[in-house]
Amino acid sequence: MAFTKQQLQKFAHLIRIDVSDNQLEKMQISSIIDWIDKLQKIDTTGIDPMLSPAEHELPMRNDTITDGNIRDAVLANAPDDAGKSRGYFAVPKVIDE
Amino acid sequence: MTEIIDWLRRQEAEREMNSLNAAHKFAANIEKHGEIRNERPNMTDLTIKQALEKLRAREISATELTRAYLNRIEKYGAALNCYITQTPERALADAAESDKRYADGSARPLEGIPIGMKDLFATKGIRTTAASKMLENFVPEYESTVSQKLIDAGTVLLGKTNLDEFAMGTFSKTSYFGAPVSPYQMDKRLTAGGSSGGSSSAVAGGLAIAATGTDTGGSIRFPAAVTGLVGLKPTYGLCSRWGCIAFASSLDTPGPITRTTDDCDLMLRAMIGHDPKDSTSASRSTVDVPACAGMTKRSTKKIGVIKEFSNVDISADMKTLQSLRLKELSDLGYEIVDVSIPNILDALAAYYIIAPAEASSNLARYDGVRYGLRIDADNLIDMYKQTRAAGFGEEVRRRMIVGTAVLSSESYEVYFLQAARVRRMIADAFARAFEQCDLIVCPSSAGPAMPLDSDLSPLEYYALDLFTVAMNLAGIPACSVPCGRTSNGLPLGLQVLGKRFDDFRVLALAREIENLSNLDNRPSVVTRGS
Repeated sequence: MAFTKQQLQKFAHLIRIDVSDNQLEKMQISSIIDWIDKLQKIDTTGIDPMLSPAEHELPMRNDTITDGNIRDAVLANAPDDAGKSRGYFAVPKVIDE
Repeated sequence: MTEIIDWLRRQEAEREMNSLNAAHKFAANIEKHGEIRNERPNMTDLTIKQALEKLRAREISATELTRAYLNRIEKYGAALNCYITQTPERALADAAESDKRYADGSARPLEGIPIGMKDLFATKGIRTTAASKMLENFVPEYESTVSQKLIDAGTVLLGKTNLDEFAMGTFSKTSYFGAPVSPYQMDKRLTAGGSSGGSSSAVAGGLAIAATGTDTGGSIRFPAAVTGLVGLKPTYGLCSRWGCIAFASSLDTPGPITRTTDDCDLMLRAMIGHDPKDSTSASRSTVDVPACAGMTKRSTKKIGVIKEFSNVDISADMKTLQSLRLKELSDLGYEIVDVSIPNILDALAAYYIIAPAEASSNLARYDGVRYGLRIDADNLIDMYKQTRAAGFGEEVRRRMIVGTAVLSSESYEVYFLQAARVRRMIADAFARAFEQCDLIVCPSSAGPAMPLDSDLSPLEYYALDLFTVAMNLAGIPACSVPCGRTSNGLPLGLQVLGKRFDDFRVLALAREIENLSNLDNRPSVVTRGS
């Protein structure tokens, strides 16, 4: 199953990566897709997909608070110092006035 | 007054003379041992086991041992590029604590052992980059479970070792900080493997006594194999992934890289254990060390050889060494049997669907908002897009786009679920194979380390993982152990595979192969020819 350049650009947009058509070409993504296509030939009828080797039931923990009150630690690596000094993450404006 | 001035001059001249003598002695010393300040020659040749004996007998101090490593890092660190961040102050503080504990009798299992930590494990207060520009200045506020366990075991932290960006690669060339180099035949600038290439370079070169790695598709075993080391990918779930920067969560497996199987055993014991912070962590009873460790070599009788691998084109040296070691194992009384893993050659394609799919999801967190790089833009979407374009290298971007493609609504069934079904077939085939044999032996790679400037296409790089990815898909333990050298002196490795949680049994057979190969991988010997 081949993907067009437009489809690949759409995927890049979906995962928010700015990429030029030229760079996309250089990545040789089509050759990888062509190669993984060989799996289609394998008959997997009746086989359950295996999503993890840890197939034990996920454990439940007690519903108690074990964390929190660590605002400064959470903000320690925030890239925007102006927001950080006020105690929050700052981002470019997302709502029009 | 003049007397005093004369006296001062004489003193000055004497000091100069002394320092000149010292310089001569120093130069002679380098000449003689190829080592700086080596009051005790080649202390960095000690294995963990030997170093612990000497530390416990108080023949050497942890500070002395640590200084020997720091000297070695000073000498070879830049050429090997195996550390992204060095932590000498921390190392000396850790060593001082260790010496105190040896003195007061409260030494822990790995007290005073200087190690390298793959720069994928979050270390509190120490920059953790995943070898990415995205995390170039990231200083975690928390400590990963595995690195905390190694602190609690008494190890000394020498620094954070280099790797492929977010552990994606085979030569450690995708590192934002440049590739680490193998200490073997250094003038040839060979790869130390990847993704844990900084760890293998450091341990093989004597810049750490042991190091941590992570293995998603061979990232511990391939680097260990091409640098003459022991590298264990434990059973999935044995070592906690908490605090280990995620690549592909159903495949990522922390483990040790060491010079000997004995050292591997010691490191593994310190690293394993149930962790409530990792929901995929194996239960407490499964990781009970004494129970696992009870598996001795006597419990292994039958060794399986994977039929499907016999048609793969591998180097003549690898072929010869594999046959030789199997013959010797058979002479020792092991029965060698053929086993079949029908789809094992399809594991590679399944892996290169599943791993990028999980990566594209895991790496969504790098958005420039909460931590890591941010490239400012007029609106939020452009800020995301430009940050991620600038922060991720080409291989990471390639895998994320592939991962998104195979997860897209039009191809989820065709690619992702089909790969997950093939994964189940491979895991089931391993389970059936282990009904016919106790352990399996196969090559770690097709051949030895290649030069870092090899110009391979993405698919050619992926093909190098052929012998290692299936074990991650199945979640079984696999250990690469040195099995000999090529005709031109480069190390090669064989893998020992076992059932889930048979890790110590795997190590016991790896120890047999180690004894048969009897390779000298002391760092002073490895770097002598360089």
